[in-house]
This record gives sequence, C-alpha cells and structure tokens, in this order.
Amino acid sequence: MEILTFIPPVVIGFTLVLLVFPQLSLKGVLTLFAVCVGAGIGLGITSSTIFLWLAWIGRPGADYIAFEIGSAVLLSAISYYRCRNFRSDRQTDLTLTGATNEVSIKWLKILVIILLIISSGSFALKSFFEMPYGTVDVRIVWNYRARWLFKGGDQWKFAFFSPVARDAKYEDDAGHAADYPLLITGSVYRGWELSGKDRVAIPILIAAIFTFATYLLLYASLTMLRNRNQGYIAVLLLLVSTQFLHLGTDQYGDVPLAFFILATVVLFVLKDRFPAISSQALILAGFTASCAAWTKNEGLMFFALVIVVRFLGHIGRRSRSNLAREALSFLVGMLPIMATLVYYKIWFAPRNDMINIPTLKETVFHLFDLDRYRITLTMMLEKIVTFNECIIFLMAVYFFISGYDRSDNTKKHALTHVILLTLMMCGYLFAYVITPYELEWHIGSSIRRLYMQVWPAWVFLFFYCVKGPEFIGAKEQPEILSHKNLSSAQK
Amino acid sequence: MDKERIETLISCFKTLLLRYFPSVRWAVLLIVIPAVFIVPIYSLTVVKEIVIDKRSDPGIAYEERFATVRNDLPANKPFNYVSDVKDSGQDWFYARYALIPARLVEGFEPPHDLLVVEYLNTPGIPRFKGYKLLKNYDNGVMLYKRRAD
Repeated sequence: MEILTFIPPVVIGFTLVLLVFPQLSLKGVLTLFAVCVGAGIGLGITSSTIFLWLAWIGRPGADYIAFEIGSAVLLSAISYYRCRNFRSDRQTDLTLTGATNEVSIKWLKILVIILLIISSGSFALKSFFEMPYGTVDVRIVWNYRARWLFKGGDQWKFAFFSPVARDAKYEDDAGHAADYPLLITGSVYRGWELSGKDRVAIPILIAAIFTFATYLLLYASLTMLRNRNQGYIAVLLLLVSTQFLHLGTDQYGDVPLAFFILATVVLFVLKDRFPAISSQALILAGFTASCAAWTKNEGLMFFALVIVVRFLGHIGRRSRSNLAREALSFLVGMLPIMATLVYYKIWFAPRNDMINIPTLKETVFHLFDLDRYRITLTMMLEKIVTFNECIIFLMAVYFFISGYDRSDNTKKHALTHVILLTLMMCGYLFAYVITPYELEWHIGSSIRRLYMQVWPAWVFLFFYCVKGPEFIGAKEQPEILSHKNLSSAQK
Repeated sequence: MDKERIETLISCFKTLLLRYFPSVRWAVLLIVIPAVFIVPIYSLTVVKEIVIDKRSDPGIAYEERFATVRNDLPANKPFNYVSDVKDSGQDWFYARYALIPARLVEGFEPPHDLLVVEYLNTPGIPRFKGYKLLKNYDNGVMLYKRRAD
C-alpha cells in the first residue's frame, strides 16, 4: 500500500523530465537517467504541493489525491505528445559520445548488479529490522515534524516550534535545525497522509529511493558522458564507501541532499558538453538545485554557490545575452520550489539556530577568532584523510596509475565543478567557525555527514576526468572482436 | 639486471591479469577487489547485528510503552514528563516523539495538569508532591493528575 503513494511523484517527475528533455528517449540508460532525476524532482514537487495545500486549503484528503493523480495524467499526456512531435519533426536524439563506441565489460556489469542487490538486501534488513525509526536526526527533525503535521490536527504548526528560537539557548538538541526545509518532512507527511497511518515504511522507502537513485544516477550519467565501464567502476567505488549506504539506512537528510548535488553537477556537465541542450539542462538544474535548497540548509548554501560560480562568475567573460538566456532557463526551473521555500522561511520557519540576531555578536566574535579556523581546518583535513577508511588514498593511487583523460570534452569546464564543490567545503568551514555550539563536538558529530553530501558528486567528477578502465589493447582481444563481429553480423 | 627482472615480473603479472580480467587496466582491481570483500562483509555485519547481537531500535520499545498513555493525553495540550532513564537526553527525544500530538514538557516546570512518569529502574509507585496517581500502565509508565488544592 505504502509503495503506491510513490507512484504520483515518480510519474510527475519523470514526465516533467521528458517534457523538458524530449531527446531522452525511452531507451536504456537515458530512461534510467530520466527516472532517477524525475523521482527526486517529483518528491521535491509533491512535498511542496502538500505543504502549500495544508497551509492554504487545509488537511489534504481525496481532493488532494485527485489533484496529484490528475497532474500526473495531464503531464504524462503532454509529455507523450511532445515526445511524439519531437520525433516526427525528425530532430535528432541526444547523441551520446562514448557509450556507443565502447564494449561493456560483462563481468564488471555482473559484479555491480550482484553488489547492488547485496547492498539493497542489507539496506532493507537494517532499515526494517534494526533501525525502523531511523537515527537521532529523524526523531529530532524530519519525522518529528512530519508526525506533528500528520497528528497535530489544527495545531500542525507546532511542528515548527523551537525552544531555541524562543530562548536562544543551546543546551541540547531540542531546537536543533528547527528551520530546516521540508522536502523530507513533507514527503514523509505526504506518505502518511495518503496511506492514512504513520507507518515506518514511508520514511524508509524515501531513504531507499534517494540512496539507490544516487548509485543509478552516477552510473547513468557516466555512461552518457563517458562509457558504461566508467559508470560501473564509479558505482563500485560508491559501494565501497559503505558509510553512504549506512547514512541512507539511518534516514539522514544528507543522502537526499547528496543526490540533488550530484544531479545538479551532472546537469551542468551535460549543459557544458552538449550546447544544443543547454537551456533544457539548465531548467532541470534549476529544479534539482532548488530541491537541494528545499532539503537542507546546506542545500541552500549549495544553491547560492551554484549561482555565484555558474552565473555571477561568468559576468564579463561571456556575452550578456547568452548569460541572461541561461539564467532565465535556470530561473524557470528553480521558481516553483524556491517560491515555496521562501514562503516557508518567511511564514513558518523559526529562526536558524546558528545564524540569528540574539547570537550575532557571538558570531562576529567567532569570525575573527583565528584559533577557531586553525581547529576547524585541522579537524576537517584529518577527517578528509580518514574519510571512509582512507578511501582518498585508493583514489589517489588509481588516479596516479590511470591518469587524466586529456580529451577536449573532459577538460572543458571540469574545473568549474571542482571549484563549486571546493567552495561548498569552504562553506562548511565557515559554518563551523561561527557555530554557537561547542566547536569540537559540532565538527566531530557532523563532519562525516557533511562530506557525504558532496561525496557522490566528487566520485562523479573523479571518474568523469580519469581515463576509462579499458586496457588500451582491449580492442585487440579476440573475444571483443568476435562480439563486435557478432553484433555487425546480426545487423 | 634488477631492472630487467622487475620488467619481466611486471609483464608476467600483466599477462596473468589479462588472462583472468581481459580488457581492463589493472588499476581497476584497486576498486574491484575491495568492493568484492567490503560490500558482502558489511552485509554480514548487518545480519550479525540483527541475528546474533539482537540489536533493535529503542524507538520500537518507546512506541509500544507509550501507546496506551498516548490515548489518555489530550491532543495539543502540554504535560509534564519525568523519567529515571539516564541516557544523556535520548530518552526525552524518544518520549517526545512517541507522545505526539501531546506536548511534552520535561520536568515539573512550568506545572501542567497531567504528569507522565517513566520509571523503569525504580521499584514501586513514586509519589510526587501536588500530584495524585491517575493510572498505572504496569510497564513503568504512570499517569498523574495535579491536585486541585
């Protein structure tokens, strides 16, 4: 029953992606890409519509379900019509370099599938039998507020009551992150409201969707931009970093945020790589970046950095008309979710526990305290080295042996994305420096999760830039040759 | 001489590798081998935690323990809450979550009409000045009402 509640968001998101991107035909990896990005966007949209419905109309009932299903059907019809017209106009499909020229390494593919099945098994076991109610953040923030929205009756706004906002005291976690946006909370509430009971399956399924959509999106995007084998290796590396799966089972908000950061970076890479689909990629990037902002406050920082790096940073270097056109496409995509976020932040969210007027003096004092920078930087660097059992060394050795892919396509604009993710990590540094909480405790208790937010995007960029896994002489291998011959003979 | 030996060794290694893993760079094994071991080991650890260590979410116990008292608390009204569980604040989060839509106020201040007591480690029925026992749920949870006087 619970799983049925996810059909409308996935359909809405998927059809929206197809509507914007009719080039993404219903074939193989392109479908996978559209489903993954669509599922995320769909959950973002439905979490905001249910919140607006609750705020403006009242408790969602059958009328809301009809609205969602109607929207899904309408969008499906429009996108079907658009896709059909697009093909009849004889416009070319999105041409993907790489994927068509490479031969998939079968054993690598089988290994990835087996390990993904094992991982999904351990995810299900841990989620349903060991930690069905998730971890501390879930009880304090996400599901706590969702339960208030669901059970609070006409007092549902109590979900956003924060003792910290009232007293500006930081004695415990009582009001921690009370102003966090509502993508997860809204999605959990939506699932409970539609299924009629606050069952643990809903938040678990949301966590599962984002966790496994990240693996699949990583694979699909690298297959589109490089080749299948590169996608397999990247998924294997993300599987090796079991902390990602662990955070997913704990239902932390960092995994959905990691998904949206990855999706945004991938869409910007697509935009840079295929100028013909620039505006479409930007519309979707607007959606995913705003969904990141709608997930967590760190996502809001990511959203701001995207604008700085991708738009403001280009002023003077590119023609104004081009930049304005791109900014407009991005604006179109970001508008629905960002408007909801602004409405929520103005009318419902209590003040932030880290940046607020009562503690402004303390914040400024912290900002000029060099010792705090030293402590934060030291701890952050230590955690980078030890992150995921020192996986960074594995990547360094891999890079040293494989080397950088020097093809023009890869080199182009890769630096912009590296800068974006590096600035994101600098943002974490400043957040720690100004924190009103005990510094060492705050860093120690959260840095691993913050790194995980950007980890899939780093993995993507890494494998986007390094050489492929194929041995140079591979094309001379008789098995592959025979496979090719077989394919051509079949044709 | 040594250099030749090393080169021979490397070429032998490459030949061996290509026999079993045709068409891939050997650097790929740096990721494949850890993945083959780490992912199943992680899964076995999860199974061990559940089957052998019998680990379970404390949230389940809290949901069961407070299921009845939740129905006896008026929705959206504050109540006082005291517990003898010492776990650096975690108990409070579990109880607060389990008792929604009633509003939990930790301790006796400010005093409200109802008091929920969770005494899991203290035998007997405790007494609280100004409160009388309304209901004992026989699972360590008790509901008190503030005396009118």
